[in-house]
Amino acid sequence: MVTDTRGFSIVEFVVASTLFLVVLALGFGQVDPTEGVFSTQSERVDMQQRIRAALDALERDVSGAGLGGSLSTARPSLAAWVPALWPMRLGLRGADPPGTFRPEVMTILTATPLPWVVSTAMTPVPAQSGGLRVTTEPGCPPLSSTCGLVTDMDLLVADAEGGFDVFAIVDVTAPTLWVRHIGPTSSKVYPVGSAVVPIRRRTYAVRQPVAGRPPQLAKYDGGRAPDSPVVDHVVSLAVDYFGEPDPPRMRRPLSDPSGPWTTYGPPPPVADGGVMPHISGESCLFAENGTAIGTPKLATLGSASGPLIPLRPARLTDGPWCPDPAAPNRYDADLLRIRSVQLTLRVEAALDALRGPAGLLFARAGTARTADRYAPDIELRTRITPRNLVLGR
Amino acid sequence: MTRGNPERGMALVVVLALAGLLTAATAAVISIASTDVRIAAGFRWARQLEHAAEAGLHRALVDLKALPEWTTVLSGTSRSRFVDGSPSGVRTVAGGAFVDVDVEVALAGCGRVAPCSDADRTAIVQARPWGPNNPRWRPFAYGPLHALAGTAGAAPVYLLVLVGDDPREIDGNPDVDETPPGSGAGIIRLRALAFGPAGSRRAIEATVARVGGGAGVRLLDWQSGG
Repeated sequence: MVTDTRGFSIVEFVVASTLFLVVLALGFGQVDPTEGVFSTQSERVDMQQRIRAALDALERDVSGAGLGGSLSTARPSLAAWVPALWPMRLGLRGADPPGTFRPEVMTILTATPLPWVVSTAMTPVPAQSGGLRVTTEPGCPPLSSTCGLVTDMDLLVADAEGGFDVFAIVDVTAPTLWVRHIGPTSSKVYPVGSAVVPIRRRTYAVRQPVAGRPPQLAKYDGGRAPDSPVVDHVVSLAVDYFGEPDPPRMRRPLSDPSGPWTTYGPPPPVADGGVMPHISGESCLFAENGTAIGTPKLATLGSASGPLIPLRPARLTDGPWCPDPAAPNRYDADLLRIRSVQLTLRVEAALDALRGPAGLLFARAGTARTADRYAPDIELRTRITPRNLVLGR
Repeated sequence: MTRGNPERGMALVVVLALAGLLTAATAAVISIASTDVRIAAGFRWARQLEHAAEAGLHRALVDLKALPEWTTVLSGTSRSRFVDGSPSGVRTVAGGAFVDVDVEVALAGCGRVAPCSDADRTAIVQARPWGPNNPRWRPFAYGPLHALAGTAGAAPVYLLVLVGDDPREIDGNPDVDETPPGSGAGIIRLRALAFGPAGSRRAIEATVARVGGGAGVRLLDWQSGG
């Protein structure tokens, strides 16, 4: 048996250590890019989840656009009276002026679903803050003299010709609802029998970054409360609108009690205030022609049975205006055509270190200088057709 | 016996260190990726179930259109041809999940899993404020999606479509459809539910009206119920 009790010589130790460090350095050299890939991939997973959450929130609200608001089969839904999708911001805070088109902003109008239903005004309703009483319609809770309406709900009061105003219920002293008018006060007075619809408005837009806050997809409910964030690091939202190629047309004369009288949109008034209800009068959608069937004012953009067509910003901002060109809350009648929207969302990496110079890959510049540290923005495009906007199609 | 070279263990140490690093990085990547796969699967299932519920709703519309009147539907004596047995009991969804038809009917009718008494059903609560006019939900169409799609390759989804009277009727009898010229004549509510694996589910509610003197049906509203 041979035993060797000597230790390592200094030369052996130095050589072995050097070899060990060289091998270790080579190993780490292989692992380092992997660490970069790991960072970018985990960030990309996070980006996918953010864009999924943003899309989910948008899709949930957009798909409900135009829901409810039915008074009868003759006036089947809210979307038959007023536009359900708006390319602008509506509400108390920072509302856009009439006729605005902002591709990065969308407001969704929805009637509050059952058990809330449409009731009608029991007394004339001026477009200003004050008291409001409603009739008890079928579907109203039997023990409620206010049709179940409670404080903090938003109400849309609409006449039969496309005019509407929005109010917030600030107090209830049954049977009177005390409401605050939202929007510019006008001399408009809604007649007895005007529809009173509990509604929900939601505006989506991207908030630009400020110190301490990244770019965000935010939502606004039309009241006094500020915008609330939905998803961080959403750098852009773009909305394209698609609509009916055929203008609103009258299906039957106003003297026919069965309705609905139009293919879509509010019907015209009777020509002479009710004495001759078989003659259609002038409205934002129909021109008077002395017959029972008014002439459409909007352009024919394609075949009635053809596919939906893109609605360019100019089309949605050039009039004719409903309910009339002087109304402070007027809207372009072509908004009633909208049936579908295409959403384009873009999210960025949350870490500056994973974003490169601004350009094709990055909407906002970061500090990454090598491609293996890049987590490029993700863009997603989807088309949503709210069911309640195509029920009659 | 010869004692081994004391330097021979160094390679093993280096290899183990590198292997450990790579294993940890791989495990972390797999963990993140699998979490994302599960989230994506949940998202995909939500979409599939919504489309499946809509398919069930439209299947129910086809059979409703064929019926001469809807009181028999509301009273439970007429049902769709898309059924897989009696309108009660437990069904198994592929993947081991269950659907209890009676529980779903009770949840819709009075918000609890036990069968609803008349007092439960007519109680005035926020979700059902119409008292005696609260809908009495009944199964109308139900069965596995593959039976509807006509292919065994369809997703493992079970469909259940409930019908109830339009709550805007004020006749106090949710088993009877109002007669013309009542405002609720020929109008009913449908609740279509789709059940997937692991307890996933989606619901759609819609109001349906008979139009053209019974020649057709028309959706008056459509609401995704989550």
